[in-house]
Parts: sequence; C-alpha cells; structure tokens
Amino acid sequence: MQGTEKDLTALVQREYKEGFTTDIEADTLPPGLDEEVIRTISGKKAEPDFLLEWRLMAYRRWLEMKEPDWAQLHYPKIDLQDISYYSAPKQKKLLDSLDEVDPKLLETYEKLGIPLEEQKMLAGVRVAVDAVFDSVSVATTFKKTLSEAGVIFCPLSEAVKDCPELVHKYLGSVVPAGDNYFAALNSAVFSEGSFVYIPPGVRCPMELSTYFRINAMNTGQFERTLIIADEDSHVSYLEGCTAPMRDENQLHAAVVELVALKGAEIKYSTVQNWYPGDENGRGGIYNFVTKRGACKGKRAKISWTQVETGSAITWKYPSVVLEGDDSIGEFYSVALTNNYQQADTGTKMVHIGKNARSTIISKGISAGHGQNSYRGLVKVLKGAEKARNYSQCDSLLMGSTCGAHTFPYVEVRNPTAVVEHEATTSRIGEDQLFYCRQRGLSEEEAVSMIVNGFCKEVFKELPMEFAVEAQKLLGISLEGSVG
Amino acid sequence: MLSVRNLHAAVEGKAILNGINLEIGPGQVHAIMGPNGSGKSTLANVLAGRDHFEVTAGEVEFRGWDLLEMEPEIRAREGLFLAFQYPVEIPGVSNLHMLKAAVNAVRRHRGEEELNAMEFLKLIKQKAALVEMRQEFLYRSVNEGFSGGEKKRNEILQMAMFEPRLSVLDETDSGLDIDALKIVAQGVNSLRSSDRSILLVTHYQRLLDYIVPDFVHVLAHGKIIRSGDKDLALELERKGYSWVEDHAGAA
Amino acid sequence: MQALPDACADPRTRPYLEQFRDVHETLSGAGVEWLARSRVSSMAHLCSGGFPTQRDEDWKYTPLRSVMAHPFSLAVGGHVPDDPDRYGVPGLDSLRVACIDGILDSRCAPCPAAGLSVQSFSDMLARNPDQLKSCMGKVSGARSHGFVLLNEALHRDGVVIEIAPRVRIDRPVELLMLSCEDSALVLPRILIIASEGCRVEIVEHQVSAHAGSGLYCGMTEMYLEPGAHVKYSVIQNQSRSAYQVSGAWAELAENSRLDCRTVSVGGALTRNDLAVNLTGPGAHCDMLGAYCLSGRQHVDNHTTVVHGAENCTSNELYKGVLDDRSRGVFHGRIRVEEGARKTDAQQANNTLLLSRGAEIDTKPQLEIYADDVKCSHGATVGQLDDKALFYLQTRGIDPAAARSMLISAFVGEVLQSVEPQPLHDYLCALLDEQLSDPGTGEPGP
Repeated sequence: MQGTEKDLTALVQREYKEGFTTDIEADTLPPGLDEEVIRTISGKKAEPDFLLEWRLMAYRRWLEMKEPDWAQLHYPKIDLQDISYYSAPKQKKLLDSLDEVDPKLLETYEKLGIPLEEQKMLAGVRVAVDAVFDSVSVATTFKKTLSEAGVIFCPLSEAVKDCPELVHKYLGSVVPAGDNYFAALNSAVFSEGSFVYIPPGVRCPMELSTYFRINAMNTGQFERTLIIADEDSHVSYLEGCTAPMRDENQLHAAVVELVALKGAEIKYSTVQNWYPGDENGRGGIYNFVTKRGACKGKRAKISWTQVETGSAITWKYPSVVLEGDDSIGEFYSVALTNNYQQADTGTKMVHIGKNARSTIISKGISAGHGQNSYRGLVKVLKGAEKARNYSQCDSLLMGSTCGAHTFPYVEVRNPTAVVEHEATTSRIGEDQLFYCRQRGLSEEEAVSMIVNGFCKEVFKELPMEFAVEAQKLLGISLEGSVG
Repeated sequence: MLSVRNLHAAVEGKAILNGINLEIGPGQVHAIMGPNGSGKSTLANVLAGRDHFEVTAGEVEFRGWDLLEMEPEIRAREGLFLAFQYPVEIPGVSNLHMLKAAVNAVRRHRGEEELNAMEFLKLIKQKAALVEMRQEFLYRSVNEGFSGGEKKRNEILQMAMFEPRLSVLDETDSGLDIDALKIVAQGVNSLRSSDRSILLVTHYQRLLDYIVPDFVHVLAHGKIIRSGDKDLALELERKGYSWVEDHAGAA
Repeated sequence: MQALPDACADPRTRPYLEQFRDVHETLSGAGVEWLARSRVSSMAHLCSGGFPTQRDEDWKYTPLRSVMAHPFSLAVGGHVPDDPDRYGVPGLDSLRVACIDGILDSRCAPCPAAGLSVQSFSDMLARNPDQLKSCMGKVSGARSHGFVLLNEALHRDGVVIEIAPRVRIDRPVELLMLSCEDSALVLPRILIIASEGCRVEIVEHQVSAHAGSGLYCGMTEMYLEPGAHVKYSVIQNQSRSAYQVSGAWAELAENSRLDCRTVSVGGALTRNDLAVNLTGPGAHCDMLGAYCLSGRQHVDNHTTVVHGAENCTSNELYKGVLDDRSRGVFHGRIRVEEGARKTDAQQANNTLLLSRGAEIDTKPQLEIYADDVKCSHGATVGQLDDKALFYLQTRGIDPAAARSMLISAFVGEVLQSVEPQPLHDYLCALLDEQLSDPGTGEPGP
C-alpha cells in the first residue's frame, strides 16, 4: 500500500518547465506602496484624471480593509511594503510593429510555446495573443484582422487612451474598487491587462488570449482585464500564465471583469500555471484573484472554465451575477494541489433575474501535502423566479497526507427555486489500478486514465488547444479520438 | 501453459492457499470448484498478480516465464486474462477508450502495429456482437451503472478483444440469469482453441453444463483435494461439498 | 480565584453578569472550589467575548436580535404543575423523569430499572462533585460560545443518567423538560454515561405549559463507552414564543453507536448545536433531523461530526419543510482526521419551500485529511413535485390531502426508524399538526 501511495504521488510530480528567467533590463519602481507610487504608475501610463482619482479612491478604501482570513489557507503574512508595484522591460517608446520588440522577449514567449509572430501561428490555430510581461503588454497580435470585425483587443492602458468612454463606463462596474482587500489593492496599483470589446451582433472571428508572465524579482503582478460583449455578440477568451522559479513568494493579485449584455456570450478559460514552489513548499506565487462576470441582459451567458495547477496559494472565485432574465452562468474547474500547494477556489452564482440557470462542476485533486478546498455560494434572491442550479464538487485524494475540503453555501429566498448540490470524495482505488493493469496498462497509464476520466466534464469545456495543454499539465495523456 | 507448484498465499498474515498444484496444458479447460472461503478467488487473484495477496511459498510458471516475478500488466500482455468476480467501475473513462488503450498496450508489447481508430472500432463492434452487447455500452464509463449481467458480459467482451492464451474466469456465472449465462458461455466457447486454455473458478456446476471442462478440481481449505473429469462436478452437485471434504479427510 | 469583571465588552451580557453576582453563591455546588472557579471564569469569558453576532461565521444566518431584545431572568422555581405526566408522549410506556424549568421534579420516583441510575445534577454535585469533574465540559469545551458559557456559569440542575455495563434498558427513558414559568431563563444540564456494552433509548421531550416566552439553553453531554448503543431523540415542541439555544455533545468510544434524532416543530427561534466525536475505531453515529416550520419560526441546526479513528461511519440526514415566512438554517460539518482510514461519512440536507417568504440557508461541509475514505454530502432545495401532486389528484385525492401526503412522505424518511410505535405516532402527529395548522404562528405581513 505504502508503495502504491508513493508511486501515485510521484506520478503527479513534474518538472516546472517554465521556470527560467529572462535577463532583460527593466524599469522597476523601488518596493513600497503609498499615494506617490500610485501617482507614478498612473503618470507612467499617462492616464486621464478620472483613472488616477479612481485609483486613489481604491487605495484609501484599501487602507481601511483587513486581509481576509476565512479561507482554508495558511501562509505567512505578505509584506506589501516589500513589493515593487511596477516593472517594465526597457524598450523604445512606441512600438509600431513586432520588429521593434526586444528579441529577448520574443524568444521568451517562443520558449513558452507562444509565438508572437502571426505568420508562425497561421500554420496552426488562429489565436490572437496579448502578451503581458511583468507590468506591460509587449505585443498584441492579429489586431488588424480583429479591427476589421470591429473587435477591440488591446492592452488596457491603450484602451484608456483610445476608448476612454468604454473604460470609464465599465471599469469597476462588476468588481467595484472596494470589493475586497485584494481587488482594492489591484484597483489602486494595476499596471496592465487586456481590454476586449465585441460590438453588437459580432461573433469574434478568433479566440482571444492573454499570456501573463512574471519575470522580475520582488515585484507583484496586478493586471486587470475587462471584457465587454455587447448585445448578441460572442467571444471566447483564454488566459495563460507562468513565472520563473524563485525561492521567494511573489504576489499576483489580478481582477477580471466580464460584462455580457443582452444575448451576449462570453467564454473565459484559464490554464493557471504560475510557479507552484518546490517540493518542500519553498517559493511559488501567491495567487489572489477576483474574477466576476455580470450577465446584464436577457439571455446573456458567461462561462468560466479553469484548470488550476500552479501557484503556492490560490484564492480565486470566478463568479457570475445573473441579472438578466433567462441568463446562464457556468463554472467548470479542475484544481490540482501537490507538494505543499494550497488552493481555496470555487465560485459564486447570484440569481437575480427570472429563469436564470447556473451550473457548477468542480474537480479537486490533492496529492503530496496539498490542501484543496472548494468554496462556493449559490444565492437565489427574492425576485429570482424559477432559478435553477446544479452543483457537483468531487475530490480525488492521492496519498494520506493531503486534504480535500468542500464548503458550499446555499441561500434560497424564493420558493420556486430548485437547487441541488452534490459532493463526493474518492481516491484512486487499488482495485481500479489493478483492474487496468490486468488489462495490460502500466500504472502510469492507469493513473492518467483515471485522473483524466475524473476531470473529463471540465476538460470538454476547454477550447481544443487548451485542453491539450491542460492535460499535459496534469501529466496525463489525451483520451483517444475514439469515442 | 500454466504450471502451479506448491503455491501458498496469505492475506494479512492469514494463510489462504496451502500448497496448490495445478498443470494446465494448451487447449485445456479446467474448472476449480469449492465451497465459499476455500480459496478459489484467491487463486485467481494471485495468478493475476494482485498486491493484496502475499505469496508465501511455491512457484508458478506461465508459458515458460516465472509468473510471480511479473507485474500484473506484463502478465496481461503476455496473455493472462482475469475476468473479475466483481468488475470495477471507473467513472468518466469510457469502455471504448479503456479497451483501445489496453489492446494497443498488448499489441505494442507483442511488437505488433497499433490499431487505428477505424480498425479498432471495426474489431470491437464485431466482438460486441458476439456477446450481444449493445453498442451504446461501449460509450459508457467502464462498468459504471451496469447491471450484474452487463458487467459480466463486458468482461467476456474484453476477453474476446484480448484473445488471451490463458483466461481465468472468476465466478463469472454468479449473478447471471440463464439467458445471460448462455450468452457468456457462448462467448467463452467461441474462444476455445487448441492453443488457448481456460481456468473456470466456480461454486456451482451450472456453468459447466455450458462450458464443458476437461478437468475438474475441488478446492478446500486452500488445497486441491480431489481432481477428476466433468463427472466429478456432477457428483459434487448431487452429494455436496461435505461429501468430498469428508472423503478427503478419510483418505 | 479569577475576579468577576466590572465591564462587559458586549452590553448584552450585562444583565446576566448582574444576575450572576446576585445568585452565584447560592448556585448548586457552591462550596466546591473547582466548580465555583469554573463558573466565574465562564462568566468572565462571556462578558469579554460576548454573545455571538451574525459576523461570526457560525451564526451568519441566525439573527439574535429578538433573543437579546430583553434579558431573561433565571427561573425562580415553584411553578410546579399538578400533573406533569399529562405532558408526556401519549401512550409511551416509558421511565419518565420530569424537569420543571430545568429543575428535577423531586416527586419523580427513583427509576425501577436495574442498572439504570437517574439522579439530580445538583444532588450529585452536592454528594459527589469529583465524579462529575472529569466529565463536565470535557466534550463541550472546544467549541463554546456565549450561550454555552451562560449555562456553564449559571446552571442549577438537570439530570445525570448512568447505565451500568452490559445492561439493556427495555423501556425508553423519557426526560420531560417542561417549561412552566413565563419569560424565564432555563439552563438544564444533562449528562449521560453509557457504560460498556449497554443499550438504552432516551427521549428528551421539550414542551411548554404556557404560551409565553423564555430562553432555554440546555447542555447535554454524552459519553459512550466501548460497545454502548444509545438512541437519543430530542422533541422540540415549546411555545411559539420561546427561544432556545442548546447544545449536545457526544464522545463515542470503539464500536459504540449513537442514533440521534432531532424533531423541531415549536419555538420562535431555535438553535441546536450537535457535535459528535468518533474517537474509537468502529464507532457509528446516525444524525437525523426533521424541522417543520410555519409563521416566522426559525430553526438553525448546526452539526459537526469528527472522525478521529479508523472504520467509523456516520450518516446524517436533515429534512425540512418551510411554510409562511419561516426560516431554516443547516450547517453540517464532517471532519475526517489524518489516519482515520476506512471512514464512511454521508450527509444530506433536503428542504421544501412551501411559500413565498420562506428561506433556507444550507452549508454542508467536508474537511478531509485522509485518503482511504468514502465521504459525500448533498443538499437540495425545491418544491413539491407537481407531477406527483397531479397524479394523486387523478386518483381522486383532493389537492390539500395530496399535498400533506407528499410532505409527510418527504419528512417521514427521518422518522422511519423510530421504534416505539407511540413515539412514532406522536412525532408524525406533531408534524401533521404543524403542517395543517400553519396559522398558529405570528402571521407574516
């Protein structure tokens, strides 16, 4: 038994391939946070006054807030004065084409498997990429193709200049500046992020993707993403992230806001692969992220899919506020914690409009000393007639030193609601492994197959190329094309 | 094909098999019968290599190899198939997917070309017909939500897919109604050939009406206490296990 | 000895501090030093820590505004009805013990069963305080809140039940907890020591002899020694204006078994804490609950089961029907400690919402630190099945009868295993009455 357990844990061990650093000259602010730092960040980005005011307001709110301690997470207090809030690779002022991007940066993304040159990508699947390196966006591809369709896809700092009215109207409309401790911090100091606007009736012609990379030491990453899908539009957006291996912990506190107007659909997929720390729990990213979408209009739909394999600490609850009648919210999640990783993740589905439906599928895998918690809220307000929710939270335990926890909250204020929650816990059974081996599969193959089967409902929600990536991350092979 | 010599095995320190001797030649069908707790299923599991059972003495030779030294999947790839008494459920993994991976693992092992999706589908449909299994079962998760009979048929389907040298059927008849039993028996019989052997582990004689064995052994207290031909099974059916146990005790 | 505080961090505790000053020297076991010390320390903790608020995660959904609106005074006693027996479970052949406002009724005859000892808590404290020392507050200590502290500081009496080793008590023991004094603070203690291999069924039957208010904070502690089997049913049928915040704690040694059942129909606001510790291998616990509420009733069931040893099993099922503007809260926590192999823990909370204004907040939780376990929980919120209602109607059953048939079937699952027929019938009748007569509560606006 002991042997099997050790083997199982070894099977989910993998090398962190994205752990290299890029040696590049950077313009980095000294550590520390005060109003001056915020003014400097805003100044560097030549922001309009309304944004600086908003940042300062968030900062003042943040000063009065306390770090949340309700999550099932244990970590030393983060010294926020010890972090630099801005770091950008030095480069020429304005980039007109990719030729002007520092070749070291291009090389970095190439190494990460994210080629930024369009012709290289044309061979494969067409995905438009915004590459964010520390605090700035280094390149955004396929801008021309997208603008022909009327789609705006650019770094948030650019959107502030090019379409300030949209930014002004929607920034903070879903996640207000003072929403929570980490969101307030982000609102004060966010440095970059992606902005997407899909005009009415437009189906975005390609997948959009942002790839976040932390490189500099002792910096935090505070990006902010805003996606607006106007009436009857459709967009699928992918987010990826990696960081170098370092012994120190680094903070990532992002905010993502999604706005889906009448009949619009946003599909947001994440493969989170920040550096998780080493096998002794040293180093790794502290990932405190606020993600929320609002289905503002009738029939709007927002779907979150996440595969969380990285970070030392994950604190993340992608949520949907179902304001519109007949709107739909979905949350599909796979979270893997190995070694000393801890994840407290889940979702909130807030039913406000009539006939809104929500689905939650969460799969947690714990190995080593990993602690994995699902925390979710399904809230049905008084006027939310005929709300429907189905939640399923399954945990898979590998080894006797890890933990799996489930903390769902169900609040129902309307008697026409039907809410169902189910949670199960299982482990890879010795009998399952033996059965597969008796059929000629090796133990590795058997484990992959079982883990893959366990996560299947979530993987099928991912766009194809992401699904492949996700399965590779879990160290498992893709189920054959048969079936 | 298989040669078991003085095999002893224990579970959590408790001796279950106390010196089994058994020779199975190519093409032969052997039946092992015995009362509950006699060690029948233990023998089947030990042959397949289940960790839970500790071999404390003896040796097993399978097609010239030292079977006890081999990992379970290597035994399987070398042609030893166990039809489980309680087939395991594997949620989320389709029957089709598991079988394709397994069949190709065996083929790789034998140095054969892997089957592509089309070839595989063709093969499995053909075999599924043999055990009268509806195609939709192929797309469902392995054994999940299957009835007892469906699970057993699924085992025989897998057996048909692997074309094993030695099939060990662990109480495959238990929980089957007469129609299902006939289908299962028909599947097994269709695999009988001069280079394939079968070991039937069963409590009842009933199965042996449909799969007629060449040899019948009676197992009690972890030992084969009597061997004979198919008539021994009929005699057992008439007189009960206590008869043969008493008989062995007296001898 | 720790001094009593002068100030109260939570002003709601002040009236209780004042009462404590007045009476603590006259409370039971006053001469016993460790007890006196413990009472003062509990009071001091209450003053500094205060009563819970909705900011406390464990009290998020239970507002205490009404409970705390005006202070309750300790029951003075003496409101003894002529015939307490008429409040008992009808037709139940039980060994009945009555506690009037938390004080054991002295008319209660010594129990005629061999191997069963039923004594007054205060007598026991007077005669043999040290025997109680080791078991008082041992299981409850870990999770105490303001109301537990209130009981620990001011309790006056209650019952100590001991069952001798390997004795099987054939008749159920009925603890009739009768509230007679209007607007009184009642703080009973119940201690159950089930010795090795014994079997007993205990029914704690809370009922009011008046329609007035009151605050009832009972504390029950149970120790199940190896192989003991205890059935423990709590029937909550107090006045519709009464408040209750009670707790039961149990510790289960190897191969012991506890079948708990809580049926709540009465009270304005009820909070039940139930914590079960499975400390010995092979222990088993059933936790069943039914709540049928109408008017503006509020019931909060807060349960915890800790699997601390191998091969333990627990099965929890709470079912509720909420009518009018009533509110249900369920919190269920299963914790499986590292090393608690072969744990099997199941938990479910199912609620029917019958009307606009009814609310349910449910919070099932799993915390698992061992891998060889089978754990699951489920929660559902819904309505009566229209198709089933229609089907019954097509068979000639009128809608109201069909409705009550389906509701009874829904809640009935919790009562299925109740064995003494009179008890089963009584519980069914209570639930039926509650459902067919929803107007007894304060009407909603």
